[in-house]
Formats: sequence, C-alpha cells, structure tokens
Amino acid sequence: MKKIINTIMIVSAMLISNLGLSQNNSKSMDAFTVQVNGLGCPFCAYGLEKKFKELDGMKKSSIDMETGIFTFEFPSERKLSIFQVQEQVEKAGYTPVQVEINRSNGEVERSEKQTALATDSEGEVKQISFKVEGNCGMCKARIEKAANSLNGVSNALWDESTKILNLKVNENTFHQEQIEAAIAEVGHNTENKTSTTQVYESLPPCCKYRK
Amino acid sequence: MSKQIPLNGVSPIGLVEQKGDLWISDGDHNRMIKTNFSGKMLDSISDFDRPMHISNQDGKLYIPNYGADNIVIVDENKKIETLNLPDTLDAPSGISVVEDEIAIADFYNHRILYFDGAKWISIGEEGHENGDLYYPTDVQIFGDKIYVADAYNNRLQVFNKKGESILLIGEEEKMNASTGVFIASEKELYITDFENNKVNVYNAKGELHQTLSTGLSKPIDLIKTNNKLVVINYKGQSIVIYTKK
Repeated sequence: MKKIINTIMIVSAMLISNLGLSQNNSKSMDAFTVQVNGLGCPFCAYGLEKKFKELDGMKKSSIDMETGIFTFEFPSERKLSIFQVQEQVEKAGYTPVQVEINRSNGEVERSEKQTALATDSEGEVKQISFKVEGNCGMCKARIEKAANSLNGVSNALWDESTKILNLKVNENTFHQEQIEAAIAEVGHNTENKTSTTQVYESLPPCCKYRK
Repeated sequence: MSKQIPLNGVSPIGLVEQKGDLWISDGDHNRMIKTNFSGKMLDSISDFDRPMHISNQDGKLYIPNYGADNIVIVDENKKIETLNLPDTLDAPSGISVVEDEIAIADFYNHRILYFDGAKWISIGEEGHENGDLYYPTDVQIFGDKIYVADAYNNRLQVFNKKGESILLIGEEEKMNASTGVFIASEKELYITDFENNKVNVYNAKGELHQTLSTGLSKPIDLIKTNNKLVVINYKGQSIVIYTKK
C-alpha cells in the first residue's frame, strides 16, 4: 500500500512539475499587439514582419490587413519596450497608431493612441490645402499623422488621387511652410519642401513615388 | 463576360493550374490551398512563410517563401524540399520554372536570379532606367524571353536570356504596382495593375490591346487556360474568371 501511495505521489509530483514547466514556458513570452495605419499591399505588410524578425526571437506573428493589427510574441527576458516597437515600426516606414504589451507576469502596457490633436481655441482657424507627393494608403497614413501631430493642426486629409492635402490650422500656431517641413521630414515632398534621400529611401516599396 | 467566385478567408497571392484545379498561395495565412474552378476547397498545405507567386512543373509546386528567404518544392505526395541556390535571397516574391530553367524575383535585392540549366546569372539592379528593376514581384520564362513584373517601376519589363532588357511595357498606362504577369503567347501579355484594380493586356510590341476592371479588387496574379482568363483578387478574396463573349 505504501509503495502504491509513493508511486502516486511521485507521478503526481512529476505531473505538477511538468504542468509548472509548461506554464513557465507559456509565460516566458510577452504578447504584442500593434495597430499600424495604412497597410495596403502584402509585399509591404510582410516587409514589416521581416523588419521585426531582425530583432531575433519573434514568434507567432500575424497581420490582419483589414484592421491593420500586427501581433507577435517576444521573449520576456528581452523586455522589448513600447518605444522600441514604435521605433521598429517607423524604421520600416510604417505609422504606428497604438502598441499594447501583455507581459508574461500579467502586466499590461499600452501606448497613447496617436490621433489628431485638437486645434488651439485661440487664434483664427483657417482651411488650407497644398500638394504632397505619395502613392498609397500607407502614404496617406504617414502624411496625415505628420500634419495632425502638430499642435494647432487638425482634420488633415490627403487625397490619394489628387495628391492634395486639406487641413485646418490655427494661424497663430503654424504656418504652411512649417507644416510642409514636418511632412517632408517623414519622406514626402510638398510644394515647397523636399525630403532628404535618406528618409525617402527608408519608405516601404509601395510608397516610393520618385521616378 | 466575367464571373466572380468568393474565396472566403483566403488572401490569394499566386496561382497555377494543376491537372484541372487551381493551387493558390494564401500569403496572410502561410498556406497553399487547392480549389476547383468553382472555388470549392479541395486540399491545403500549411507551414509556409508568406508564400508568394508560384510555379509548377511535373506535378511539383515551386513556392517562394518571402519571409524565410527560400524556395520550397512540394511534390505530389506533399514531400517538401528546399531549392539549393547560389546566393542569398531577400524576400523572394515570384518564381518561374520551365524544364531545367529557373527564374526567381528577388524583391528587396531588385533583381531576377536566372538559371539557364547550366549556370546562374543575376539580372537587373535597383533603379528606374532600362534594365533596372524596382521591387520585382513576379517573373515568367516564355520562349526565349524572361518577362518581369517590375512592380514599383509600374511596368512589365522583357529581358533576353543574357539578361539584357529588350522592351519596356505599360509606362504609358500609369500603372500603380504591376504585381503579377502571365504570358499566354508572345502576342498576348497580361499584367495586373494592383492599386488601380485593373488588368492590362498587351501585344508583342507592348501596345495596349485591352484593359479589364470588372470585379477586380487588388488583382495580384493571373493565368489563362482553356480560353479563360483567371484572376485572383488579394483584397477582394476572390477568383474572377473572364471568358470571351
């Protein structure tokens, strides 16, 4: 009888131990959810995934083209941060909207959602429009974000077919030249500002508008 | 006349015909699926890494793994092997295999790797001039020529087998991402215009013969078989079959 009980205890201990191991294994990865604006063509979207493979350790990645949601797992001990994820997304030429990390210890980290800022209440709000070079939905996301990120600028909307950017601007805060400079900084030529070759070359293939 | 067949839950990228059915690469879901011409799913194979524009010969499927930088070969028994290559690929996006010749579109290296049965050569380099390539996505060996979907130069470029550019096609049409190519004959050249939701048909001189748009939503690859033109829609998740009136 004692032998049977011992055997049961050993088997139980092994089962618990194995269970613990598998729990530890499953908990050793952090889960990342990244919302990216403007994913359009698979060649570029899978290019984003390739960019994260450079970090070495990424597992279980998936991309939902409809929602722009990119998910993956990454080893917890590497402590990949929200900032590093945003930086990697931008390095690949994409526009991150929000990053959420579910750490293996149960903690959840979430970035601020990057949306348009409210226009300053003081000063005259004026509607302006100018031409911005670009190609696709990813360009649209990048151009609009660059404009809307400026405090005092709102409702930036770029038309893919006409290449015209319409926006509202508080004239006390920004002038068109400064807005054009901000857009050129992310890779898109405007009527009066030209993007540097280095920034332009970092754009994804489908955003390369220079011929 | 066209007919649209839904491919629910499939994000098609490449297709070939094999024994009267279609094999389609499903890039978003890392798998190959086999359907009939009515869209009925007959078979599937998983565990690829972003499979792209495919080719087939002697019952074998040749599949570029864009995410893994390799080419895998799947035989009729689903036995998988990896193609030996002379150089490193960076996101292979298309392949054409004809007898002992192989051509591979090497996306981020802006080139075609071509094997003539004896030796490999590299065709093209990054740029926008004649002979340059800019993110090629598909390739087809046909006769004594190599046809390249020079995707982000927005054109179809034709090379001889020495790697010399001999014709540029489609620059007048202002295509936006010419992603998939199919050569039905030397006089009948098809190219998908991905962002503009069109398929352009050219003659041997590169003159536009016809433009198709009915039912197209981000068309990405196509074949012509038994007088039917079969186009797959990446965003539209469907097959569109055109027949002559």
